[in-house]
Amino acid sequence: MTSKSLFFRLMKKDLGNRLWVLTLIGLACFFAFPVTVAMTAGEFKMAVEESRRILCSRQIQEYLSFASGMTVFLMIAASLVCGISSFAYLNSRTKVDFYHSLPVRREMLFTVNYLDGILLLAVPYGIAVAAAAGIAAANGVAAPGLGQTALSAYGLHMAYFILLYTSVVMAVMLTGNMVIAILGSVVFSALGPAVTALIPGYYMTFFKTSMWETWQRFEDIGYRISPIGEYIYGIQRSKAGGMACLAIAVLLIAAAFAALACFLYRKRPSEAAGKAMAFEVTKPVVRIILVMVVSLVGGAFFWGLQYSTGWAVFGAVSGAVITHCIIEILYHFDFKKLFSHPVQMAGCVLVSVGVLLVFRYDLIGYDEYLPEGEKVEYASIQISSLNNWVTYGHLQVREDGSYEWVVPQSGGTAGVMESAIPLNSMQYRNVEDILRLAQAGIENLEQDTLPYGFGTADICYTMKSGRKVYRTYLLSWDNAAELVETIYANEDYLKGTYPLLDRTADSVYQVRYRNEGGEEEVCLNTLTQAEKAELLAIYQKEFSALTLEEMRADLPVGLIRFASEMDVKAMDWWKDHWNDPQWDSQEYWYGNSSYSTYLGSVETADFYPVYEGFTETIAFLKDHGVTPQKYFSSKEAENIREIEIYHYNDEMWETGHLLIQEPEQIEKLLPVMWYGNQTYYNGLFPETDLEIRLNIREPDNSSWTYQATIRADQVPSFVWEELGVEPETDPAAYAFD
Amino acid sequence: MIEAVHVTKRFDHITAVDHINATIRTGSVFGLIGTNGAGKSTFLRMAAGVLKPDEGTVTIDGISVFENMEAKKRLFYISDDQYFFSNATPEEMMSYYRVVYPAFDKDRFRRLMKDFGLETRRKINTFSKGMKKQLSVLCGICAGTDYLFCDETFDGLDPVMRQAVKSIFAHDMEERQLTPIIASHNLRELEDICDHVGLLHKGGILLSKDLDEMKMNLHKVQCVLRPGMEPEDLVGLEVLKTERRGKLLTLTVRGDLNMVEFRMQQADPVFYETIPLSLEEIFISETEVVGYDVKKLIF
Repeated sequence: MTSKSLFFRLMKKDLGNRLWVLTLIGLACFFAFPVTVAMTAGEFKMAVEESRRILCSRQIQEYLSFASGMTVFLMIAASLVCGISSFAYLNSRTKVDFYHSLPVRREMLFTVNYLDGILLLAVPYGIAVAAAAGIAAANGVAAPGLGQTALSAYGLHMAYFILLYTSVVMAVMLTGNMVIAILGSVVFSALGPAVTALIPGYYMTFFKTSMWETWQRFEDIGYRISPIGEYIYGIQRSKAGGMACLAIAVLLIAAAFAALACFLYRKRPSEAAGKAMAFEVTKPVVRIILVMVVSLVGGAFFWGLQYSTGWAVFGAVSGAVITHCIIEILYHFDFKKLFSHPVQMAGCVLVSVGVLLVFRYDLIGYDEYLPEGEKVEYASIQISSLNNWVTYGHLQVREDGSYEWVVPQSGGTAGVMESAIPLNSMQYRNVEDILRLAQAGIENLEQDTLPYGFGTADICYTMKSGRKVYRTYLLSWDNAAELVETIYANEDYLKGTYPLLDRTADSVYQVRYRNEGGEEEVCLNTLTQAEKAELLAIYQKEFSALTLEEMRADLPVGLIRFASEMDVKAMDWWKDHWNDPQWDSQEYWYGNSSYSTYLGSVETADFYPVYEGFTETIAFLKDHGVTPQKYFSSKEAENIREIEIYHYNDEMWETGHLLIQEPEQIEKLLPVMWYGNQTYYNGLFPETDLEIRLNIREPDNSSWTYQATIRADQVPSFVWEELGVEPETDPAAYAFD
Repeated sequence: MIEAVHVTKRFDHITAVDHINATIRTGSVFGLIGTNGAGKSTFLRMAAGVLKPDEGTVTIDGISVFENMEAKKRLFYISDDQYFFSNATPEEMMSYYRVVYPAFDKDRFRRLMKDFGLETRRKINTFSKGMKKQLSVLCGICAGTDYLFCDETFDGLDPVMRQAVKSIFAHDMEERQLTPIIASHNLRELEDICDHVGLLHKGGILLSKDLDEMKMNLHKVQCVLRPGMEPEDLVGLEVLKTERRGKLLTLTVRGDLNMVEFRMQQADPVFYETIPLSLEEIFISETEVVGYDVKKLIF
């Protein structure tokens, strides 16, 4: 008999011995695909409304797509079942004696069982998916490209299944007991992400100046070390295309793992059957790694509970000891062995406590780090109070005709935070400005909050070596105002923070204006292209000249948007489709970036503030039929029925309530009140902590309630008197020159 | 020929087999005797290629056994707790063995199954322990290999079946030079089948000798000496052991049978006769010589 015929005959025999696996997976696939699709196809057939039929069609498409959560769960479960069953005999001495005494090379035994494990899923899964697609077609579900979707999803899911399955096989090779093998598989999947979360977690927990951006790439790679992490990554980026290459890469990695597993099988001693670990040398390695990770997690956990060094040390020590003991019990299957290797346990405890203390007391000087100026190529900075309202990125058309936000500066990373945008694109050349500001931030390190300031400043130093260093600081008005003013006046900062300042007139398709508090927009459709260019230039000039003092004094009276042609098309498209269930899903609400894409987000995005000091802009708008004015100055006093003012203490308990109904008092408040939402566009405005609600009755008896705000130093004294509380701040703190 | 040279195997801190040297000639039955934990199964598992020796080599006709298919094709290993597929029948096991042992004689297997009263289509998990042992032996015999390793296989067989298996072994040894290697802790079981016996104790071989050679050189003489004569007066006889019951002396004597009889005739006892020694008695005598109280080891 040739090796080839022996190989296939052994495969056939092995499959015959594992019919229970085939049955189990077959049943699961049967209910997951043909039955589920048949139920939905039945609904499709009976549906009267087109929208319902579209929804059913989309559901079927989703069941058979690569992004189907149900299929992902099935693949993970199947990889465990197939992986364990393929080499379960290695855990039994009698079975090992049987198989290893046969005149069959271990490599052949491995290959036979390995391939059978793949076939046990591939065949029933393929049949089930084909049957499901056939059922859909037979019921008239003509989802576009359903067959193509099902086929490509089959290939992708199988590629990731093989990766997961191979990792389980490796766990079996390294262990000699089924329970330990399952635990090993879990460790393979979880350890990478755990370490990936632990390291930045420690930095972010203990270092006040640490930023998530430092770890963005590390986390992107770290989570992919786990087979399940890689699977989820593949699903997340499947919309971007190029999945064929990724699937091939996954298969190559799986092949390398399979070769490693085969090597381990060849080296694995037969007497490992029944033991916890097959290779003695792996015991301390696995134990030390797991003990260290759990110990550090324990330390961080207890620190988070009590913010106490003592409790953090307690968490680290108890985590280390308990984990060590559990692992020793599992290694020996003997409870009395829990304190084996006490020296290693003590060593792990010492190291993890040492690491904890290094972070707790910042013994490496992380928070006080300042680079040497001559080593910095350029810097970038994002100050939260100055740009947290800015829209980054742009709209683009998708293949299905809908529109979505994309943020190229995010580097394609899903869920990127807005703070990363200027940090990735700005090149602030006068590094000394940034360094002085960072020094001011270092002086604020001991404070967790500041009475009044700029919020956080996120800084990225791009070193001449190409390395990027990120830090974040709290900035107070007292020690940073002049420094921020300098930076705010710098063209590098302005153009890096406010994309509008870098736009040209030819990109402007339509100008839209909205008054403060107004829900209606005015489209300046009569403007010629030259007029649009003129308005853009005026606005860019006036916005660039805006000072921090001006922002402290007032809120914007209105908002202006220089919309591109794509913006307008997107808004028109979403107006036509906002109520269409076909577009009502997470895919469109959350998209692939941190921006959701639906009618509301498209309509309200990319507006810039117009302040009273923008005289030329306001004059231009007035000349073209738009009157920028404060919201409350446009309302007749008698329409305002009453004003309610609430006062809360530091623990957010209500300590005062004032109901103002006297017209004279209302008249005193109106000139200093602003529409509450307007503070979104000005993080520096020192608004009062009082909660102010306006109850307005319109002439037609309809009523509204608005949230309003007042600058802290402009709250009339009678308000404090009637509330019976002290004024919240010393008005002199907000004195303006 | 199977040759083990300085074969050693350790499990954690326990040395299960300690530098064993052994030679198993083709066409003879090799018995491996030892108490529980002596190292019999470990040695057999190394010889079968299941375990890799930590030191030394096990070869079949000069070819190392471990992970060598050419060597493994020539042996069939029957474990003390033989594995059968879940819910399999003897017919299904036979079908599997035929895949890996191309020379497997399925007709003979069915015939022998019938002779032994075992149903080929009955689930093996409904067999008794003895029936499973019988099945594993029949699989081993019908596999057509040159060597058959049996680890405490005879222990579960009833005396009738034991004899039946022994006769099959004898037939195959004569027909195709089958070489059974049988491990057991029961000397009496192997007495009438083994040609060569090795005694294992604590991982080492205490004794390894041909049975015939041992029997040729050891004899039991029962005699009644003339009044006034003592066993020490017997000249020219190497007496290993003396037992006395009244006037009846039972002597264990080493030497050629003719020479022993001559010496006894010379001593002119009242009565004497030579009777065969059991394997057990031979072992006791041989090992006492080297200082071991083998009764403690094997009884």
